[in-house]
Amino acid sequence: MASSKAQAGQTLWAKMPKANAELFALTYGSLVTELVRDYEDPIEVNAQLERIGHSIGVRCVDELLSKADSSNLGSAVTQCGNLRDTAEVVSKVGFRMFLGIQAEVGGYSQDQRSFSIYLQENPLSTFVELPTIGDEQSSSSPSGGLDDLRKLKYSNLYCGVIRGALEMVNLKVECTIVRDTLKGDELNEIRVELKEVLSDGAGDDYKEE
Amino acid sequence: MGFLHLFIVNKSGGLILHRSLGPTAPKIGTNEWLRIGSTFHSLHAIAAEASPVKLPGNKNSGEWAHTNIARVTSTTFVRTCVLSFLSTILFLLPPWHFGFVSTIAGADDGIEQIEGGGVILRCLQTRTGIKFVLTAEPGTSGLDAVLREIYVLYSDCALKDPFYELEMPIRCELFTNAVDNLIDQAMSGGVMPR
Amino acid sequence: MTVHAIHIFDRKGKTLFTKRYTTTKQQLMQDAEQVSEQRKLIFGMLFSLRELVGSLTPEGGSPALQSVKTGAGTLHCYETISGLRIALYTNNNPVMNTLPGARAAGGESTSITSFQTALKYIYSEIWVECVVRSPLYRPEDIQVDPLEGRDNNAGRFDIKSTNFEVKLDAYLSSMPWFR
Repeated sequence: MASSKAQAGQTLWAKMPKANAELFALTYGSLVTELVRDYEDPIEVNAQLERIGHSIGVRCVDELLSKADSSNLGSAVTQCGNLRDTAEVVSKVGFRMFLGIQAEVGGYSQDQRSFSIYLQENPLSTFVELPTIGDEQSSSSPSGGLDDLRKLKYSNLYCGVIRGALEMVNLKVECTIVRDTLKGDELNEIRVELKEVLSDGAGDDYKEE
Repeated sequence: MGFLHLFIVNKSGGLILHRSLGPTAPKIGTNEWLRIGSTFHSLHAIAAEASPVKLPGNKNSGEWAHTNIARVTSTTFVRTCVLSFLSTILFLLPPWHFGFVSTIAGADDGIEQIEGGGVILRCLQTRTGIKFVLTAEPGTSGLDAVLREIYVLYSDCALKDPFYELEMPIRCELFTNAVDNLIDQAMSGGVMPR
Repeated sequence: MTVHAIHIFDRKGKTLFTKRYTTTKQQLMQDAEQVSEQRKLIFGMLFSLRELVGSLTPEGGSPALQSVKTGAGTLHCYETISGLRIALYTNNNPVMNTLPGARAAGGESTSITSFQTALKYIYSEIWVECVVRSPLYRPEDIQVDPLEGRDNNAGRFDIKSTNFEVKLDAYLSSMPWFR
């Protein structure tokens, strides 16, 4: 079951148009630095990255579902019976298809409502080094802004993408980055927690006031 | 042997695209299209409810759920303006049981295909709640493959347009041109899956 | 391939006849009120679908509704000019009738037309023969449910008084697609 998802991911990756990895990493990098310059507060930047990721995620999910469907990869990908299946599809098919990276999933909680995605490599942060504490030469803000950059979650885009994608299939989740290679950990870990299962129904426009 | 219309209905029942695909397609005004879109959306769900057997994953297979639906609908049927009321019924669908079911929209219990005297209508419902509906003359084959390709085109052209808002009417020329090409291809040779 | 249920409605939406051929646990849990609500749902759906199909049909096609397929089963319908609607619920795998000359490509349409033929037969040979021609038949006043009209049963025409159900069952069981 797991291997078929990995294979599905591989097949879909092969069919996707590819982009230059450097261009991708550099574009993202300049987006982040521009956000940092605009907002200055890393917490706010994290929130913005998450929002950007959200609007990417809501579109990616349809692409994944439609291409999986069209390639006759079977219901292993498009139908998930429980959170475990969803987690595997997100990590093995989703990450593979869009980024070409191998992602592992694990760390399931007791009540099966949360899991972790582990990324060995992160194409977004290929050339990135977070400035270290005490580097005063490039510090321009008087309030010690560089210390705060340690609080920046550089890859927070992923959290938004996962949240947006799962929201489109009625799963409300919260994602956080727990471990980050940019901060010295050995791998990247994203913790995903299911908050609630949404129901179909009227949107906000129709609710009575 | 021809395709007639394509229409796409979003999660909440609003029509986001309607397109005529061939010369034989009947001319339908915009208002009527909107009506068709929301009617279909409601009927899609009601068909699942009305069926005597339900798939195991159906969210409404619980007893209490069934009672709620039936009570609401019984008082409003058999009216000529039943169509506008149908959409209100959907808003009272009970919340989804916790616990995973295989799809979001009731385990594919909704309408897949309608055959009439002069038209075949086929519907593809995606996991994200969007319905792609294709009508064609009887005897047209390959509707399923065409629908899936249209879903792929939607995710490639419409969703990737940064100015396209989700659930809003689609105004992407790229998408409509791609759909037209797909239909021409389907008419001449058949659509090959990717 | 199984037949799940058959319903016959009149022009106004009243259920004239209904029969379930398979019972599942879900259905045993349903009480009579739910069952009658479900029937109204089916009638309303047929009514609305016919309008929908009518507006989508090109010129020259007949706007009749023939079948509606869902994930769980297929609903075959036949409507007469007098407004009588016969709805037959089956599951999704019709057995190909062994009609001479039924090619694989045309197989699907022959099985659909064979449902239409079957429903036409049910209407003309069974309904008309047993019910309409019955001397007790009163088209406006058909007794349907034991629950309805408890207060005034006397003048009502009961379908059970005819051979309809017996003949219908016999006909359906003789069909290759009925089990």
